[in-house]
Amino acid sequence: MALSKKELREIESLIRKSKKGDAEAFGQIYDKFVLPIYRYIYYRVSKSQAEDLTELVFLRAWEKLASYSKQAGGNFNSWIFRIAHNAVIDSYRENSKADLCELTEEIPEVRLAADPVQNLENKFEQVELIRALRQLPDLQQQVVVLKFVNGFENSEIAAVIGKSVGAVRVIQFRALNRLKDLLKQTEAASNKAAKAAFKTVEDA
Amino acid sequence: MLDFLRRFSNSPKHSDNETRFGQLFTKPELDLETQSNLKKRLLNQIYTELREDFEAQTLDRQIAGKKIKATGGMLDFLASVVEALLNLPKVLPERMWQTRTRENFEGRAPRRFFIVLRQATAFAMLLIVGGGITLTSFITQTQTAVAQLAVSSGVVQVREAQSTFFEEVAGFATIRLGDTIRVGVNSTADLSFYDASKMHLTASTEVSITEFSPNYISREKSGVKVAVLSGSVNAEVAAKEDSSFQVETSTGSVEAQNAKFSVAINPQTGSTKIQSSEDSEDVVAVKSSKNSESVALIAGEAVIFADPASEMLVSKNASGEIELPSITKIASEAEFIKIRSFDALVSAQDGDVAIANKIRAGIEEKLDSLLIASGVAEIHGGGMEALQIFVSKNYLVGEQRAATLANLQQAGEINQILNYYFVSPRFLKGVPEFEILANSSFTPSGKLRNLFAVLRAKQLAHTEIHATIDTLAARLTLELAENLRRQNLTAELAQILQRMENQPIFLSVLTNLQSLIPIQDSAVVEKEIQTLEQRIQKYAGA
Repeated sequence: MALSKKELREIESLIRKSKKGDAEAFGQIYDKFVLPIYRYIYYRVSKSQAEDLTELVFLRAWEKLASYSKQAGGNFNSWIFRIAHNAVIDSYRENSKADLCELTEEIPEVRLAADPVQNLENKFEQVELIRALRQLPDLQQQVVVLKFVNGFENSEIAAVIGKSVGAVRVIQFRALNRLKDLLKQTEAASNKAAKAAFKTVEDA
Repeated sequence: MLDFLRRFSNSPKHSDNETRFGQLFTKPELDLETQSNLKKRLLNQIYTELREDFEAQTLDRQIAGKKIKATGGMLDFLASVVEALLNLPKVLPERMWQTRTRENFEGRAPRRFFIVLRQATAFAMLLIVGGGITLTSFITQTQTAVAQLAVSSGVVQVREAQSTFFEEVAGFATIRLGDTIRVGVNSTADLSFYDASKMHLTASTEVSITEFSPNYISREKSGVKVAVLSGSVNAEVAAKEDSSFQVETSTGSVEAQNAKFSVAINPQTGSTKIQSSEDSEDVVAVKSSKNSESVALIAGEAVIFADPASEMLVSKNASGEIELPSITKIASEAEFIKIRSFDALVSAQDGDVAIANKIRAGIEEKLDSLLIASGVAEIHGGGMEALQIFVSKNYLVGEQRAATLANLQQAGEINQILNYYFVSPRFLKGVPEFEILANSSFTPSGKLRNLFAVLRAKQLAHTEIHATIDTLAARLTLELAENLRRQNLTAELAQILQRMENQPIFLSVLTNLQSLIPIQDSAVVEKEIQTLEQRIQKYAGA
């Protein structure tokens, strides 16, 4: 989510206005960041929570806007994503993580393909992917989502999570390896279940 | 996907595959409507916060208003000046010390000079401070800011003490002693007093600052009196010891600390209703303009001071016999019939037929009177049905009873009865005394309990029925007196008296009772009165 210099200038201008109590300016900031924040949260919590948390993130951002300072090495992008991260962590604390991993009531949105079978495959893939993702340690989840959902550069991720770019690479590597293992387990379980089902049919 | 991941994580060139891996994740979208709704909610919350912040800041500004602060702040400022000047002689030699070598300075050693200089400066500063305080007191006593007025909505006008014209206030105004504030229709305003007390002025209200006794050395020991000329106000008095906050009307006044209460003037009758809020920390002391004694209202209690012309109904003749309220002292004949009917019923229930007949002799035995008198049947919880049972068992006989029972089918009547004697059943819901009513029987002391409960319930229900409360208080006095006369002080009666001791509203009942009861019981009642008065004095701080 690399922003152009013009965009950055525009955001800084909106922040200055917002700090002076201009709610409309903050509304424009909201327009720019709502989707990236929502996407970031979406993969971390249940869908029903995602909207509420998105709203909470912007409310907290408004309340803490006075503490945001570009001069202090700040970058609004990483600043607001840190708020989003904290909101997610808070929601973890409030709810049991097991609940958040439940995907029974929410099938993720997928890109529709022409083939309905492919659509179904995609959905299952998404369910598996999210389930696996949520089993990763928090930092790894954060990196994967920021990288592959929000399209952040490693340097931007580093600013959000407060680590070096090198550390981000390491976290990402470990996250993907862990994801691979988890998905392998899921695949093995599916195959086993498929074999059992096949055997049952054969026996019949 | 797994194959891809396997390849991807093993690939030394991650960046080549990152884009492809990213494609595995769908990018959830928020539809425009949801986005818009979220934004609306967010902005609403932000606007609410902004508004609350603004109000809080405004309040802070008002409480620590510059002009108010100036009166007390002046002392702080002067004190800091004095302190700085007193320290000056200390600082000077230190600086000189820094600029000279130790040997040179010690060689000249002007220590004595600095000690004298310090003492002289201190003396001079004390003179300045003393003069400053005198000057400040002189200035502020003539033109003291008592409160800051903030217009919340509509039109609010202020007439300054020396002026004859009201001027509209735009936003805020400083209120001084003698100023009058007039709040228009559909308008509201708030007063923030020098001691952090607050007062909300509702629509069509007029108040005036009639007294203000500031104390600038210790702002605790000061006081303000606000006269409510019309309308109603809600006051929240700060918890300041030795600080007095009073609100008065033409019929009553209230004084409080660390308490919340409302004062409302009934525009039709001119009566004043003072109500202590449910969440009030402390009691408020209320006083009728016709009475020098204060009574305390605990949280949730209310009192109504009617026009000073109204009087209690109870009186006593020279021989010590009970004198029932005469028609001349009661507003209408209908009222008289109601009371007399009730008297008759009470006597009949108590088995004192002679008294019942005596009381009943003067009134016409109409169904209305009977119904009114029988309102107490509601305590059995069955309304009309209970009333029928009650009448059939206790009151009329023969054809008259049959006719009465038939007429009782007029269901509308019962509400009138209950409205008269029991306010309205809905007001009694949730009132603890209703329990007593519900379980009471028609024994003489049961009757007392009923009256006691109804009176208390009326008070709790905050109903503006001063006259009815007076009537009931009178009835309660008579009942108590009659029971005491016939039964002496039973344990049950003693319990009732004890309960009354907790309720300042019964002071008049007890006082009147004292002159109506047998001599052997008067000592007990007198004791109760003393206890009650002590409590009142304790609360009122009188």
